[in-house]
Formats: sequence, structure tokens, C-alpha cells
Amino acid sequence: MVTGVEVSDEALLAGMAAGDQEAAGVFVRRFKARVYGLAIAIVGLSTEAEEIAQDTFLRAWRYAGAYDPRRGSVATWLLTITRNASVDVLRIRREVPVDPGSLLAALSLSYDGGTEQLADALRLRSALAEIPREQATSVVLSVFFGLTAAEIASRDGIPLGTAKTRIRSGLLRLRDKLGVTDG
Amino acid sequence: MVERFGCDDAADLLLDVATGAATGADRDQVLQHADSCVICRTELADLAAVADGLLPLVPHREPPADFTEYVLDRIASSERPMSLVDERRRRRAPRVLAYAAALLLVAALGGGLVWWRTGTDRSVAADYRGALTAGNGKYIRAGQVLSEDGVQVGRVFAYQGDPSWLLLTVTSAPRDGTYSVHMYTKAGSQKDVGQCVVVDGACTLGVTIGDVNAGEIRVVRLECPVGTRLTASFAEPPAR
Repeated sequence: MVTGVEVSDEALLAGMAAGDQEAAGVFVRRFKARVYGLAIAIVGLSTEAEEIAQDTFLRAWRYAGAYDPRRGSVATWLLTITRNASVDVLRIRREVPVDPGSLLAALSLSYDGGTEQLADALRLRSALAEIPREQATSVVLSVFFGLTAAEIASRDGIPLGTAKTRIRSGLLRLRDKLGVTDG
Repeated sequence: MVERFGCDDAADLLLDVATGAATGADRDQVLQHADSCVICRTELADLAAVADGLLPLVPHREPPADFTEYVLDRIASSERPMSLVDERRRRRAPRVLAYAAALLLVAALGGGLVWWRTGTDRSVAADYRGALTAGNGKYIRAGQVLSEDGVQVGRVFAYQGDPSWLLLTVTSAPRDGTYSVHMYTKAGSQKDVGQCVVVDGACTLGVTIGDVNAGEIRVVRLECPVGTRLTASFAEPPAR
């Protein structure tokens, strides 16, 4: 039986993999604000974000047994699912332009995650503010909005090589600031 | 002669894979290469860790008040497969029946469409009505199945009748594997309709859809556990 906040993310996911709906309830309550927050930050519309968030949890329930802790934390796994689902929606309505500026601003505004991730988050936020704006924008376009380097080059009217350099340099500088490889 | 996918090829795509922006086909190629190349594997892991580390930085937002209850209702009513083998076995019988019915009707409609090009509208209408009557049906819808990068990889048909059914044919999926198939209605509900086992890029799934109105289907999604997704949507309203 799931008793509350002391249960680890991994244990909840294991419970879900075994078909424990009570574990699923705790899991949804624990992550819903993070999942919904990411979805709405990417797609912008609350109705679509809610549907994406629902689908994300359904997918987590369905594929809980496929989670591999060696490849990242539960939160990262879940948010990656959220990001992919959100990008799917963006690709369907591809005529709508994305706004990396507002998301970039939101990333540097606040962080309300758990204390164990706070130091990394603060370092990343700090690094995002310090790297050149065009690098940060390219990273956001790629990581959050699912644009390939070629799509960013086309969008910004720059050579493909320049787009790749911006993304790579941005990621490498963030990595240097972070100093670790995964949470 | 097939060129071997090497480090130079992987380097071109590594960034897109690390950030999650790559198409399924590109991702497959890079991951396959990275399996046997420690340099590319290390760089990919480094870059992906940074990219993934950005996702939690987005500010939290509380969804609507009834969100948790609604998700848990969907989880309670969803059919999470105990195992892929059991699930395939359970669904095989009705799927084969529906598939046969679908093939018959699609063939009839296909014949009608050919006739349309050489005959009169009245004739094709009569043929269409005849096919629907034979299948206890009201209308049929058709659409495209698209990969993540917008390339058509198959077709989808939805038939409103007794029984109503869905027929999905994929001919060039970017990745082989077992795809879970989920149907979403315009009203926002979701129904798991089975699995499609893609081999050499191809699969076919025919299932009855119970009391779901074929005209109310908004989109059908095929999801592979490794992340590849295909989307089937209906571009036209049902022909009544």
C-alpha cells in the first residue's frame, strides 16, 4: 500500500508497473504540476496542455515497466514523455509560430522543484542567463519546441553550421556550468 | 552498395538526437551507431543529459481541479497489457474478423472509386450505398498516417456501421516494433484499440470500435515504447 510522500518516485513507478492504481494516484498528484507546467509552456493552450498531461500519465502507466533508472531519473523520464507529446501537437499545428523568448524568460524566473535538484537548477538557470542570447534561444527551440538544427537555420535565416554551433556551444557551456551529467 | 553509417554521419545528427528533435529514423540510426561507438555514445549521453536537465526548470503549473480524478478514471478504464503476447492473443480473433470485413468494404469502395472515373456520379453513389448496405453501414472516413516529421507512412479508415470498425495500414514506419494504438475522440475521451506489430516498416490493424461513433474520432496515435510515434487523422468530414 502506498502511504504518501516518503515513497520514492521509483517505487511508485514499480507499483504502477504492477498495476497498483493507488500508486498511480500518488504519482499523478506528485508530478501533475510539473507535467502540466511543461506542457502549457510548450503548447501555450490550456486545453491542449491538459490533454497532453493526461496522455503523459496514461503513457507512464502503460509503460512504467519499461522505465530504466540507468538512463535518468523518473522526473526526467516523465518530462521527456511530456516534451515529446507536446512537440507532437506543435508539429500537427505547424503553422503556429513558437515563442522561445517567453519560455526562456520563464526558465530564468523561478524554480519550485525539490531541494535535491535545486542546486543543479540554480546553476542551469544562471548558465542560461550567461550564455549568448542566440545560443540560449537555439537550445530552447531545440530542447523544448523540437526544432532540428536545420529547422532553426531555416527559421532564423542562418547557415545550418551556424545553427548547429549555437546549439552545441550552448549545451556544452550549460554542461560545464552544471558539472554533472544527469539527475 | 550500402554506405556504412559512421561517426561523421552520426555527428551530423547527434545534436538533434540529444535534444529530442530528431526524427525516428534519424534517432534509430544514431542510437544504433552509438551502441558500438563509445565516443559518439559518450557525447550523446553528455549532451542529452544537459538537454534533459533543462526540462524541470519550467515553472510548475497546477492543472484544473478535476485533473487527477479524470486521469485516474482513465487509468482505471484503460487496458494496460499484462504482456504483449497475451494482448495480441486476446485481440487476434475480433481483429481478423474486422480486418476481413474492412478489406471487403474497402475493396468495394475502391472499385466504386475506379468506376467513378469512368462512369457517372449516380453509379458510384449507388455502389457506395450498396457497399454500406451490405456492411450495415452509414459512412466511411479515410485519412493519412503521418510520421513525426510529417511524412505519410500509411492510411486509416473508420467505418460507422454495425459493427463500426477502424482499419489502420502502415507501409513505411520509421522504426519496427510493437506500437500501442490509441484513439482520441473530439469530445476528449481516449480508447485503447490494440497493438500494431511493425515488421519491415509495415503493419495492419483492424478492430471494432464498440460504441464510439466513427465520425467523432479526432485522431489515432500509434506509440512505440522507445518514443517513436505515428499519427493518423481524418482530413474530411464523414460522407453521409
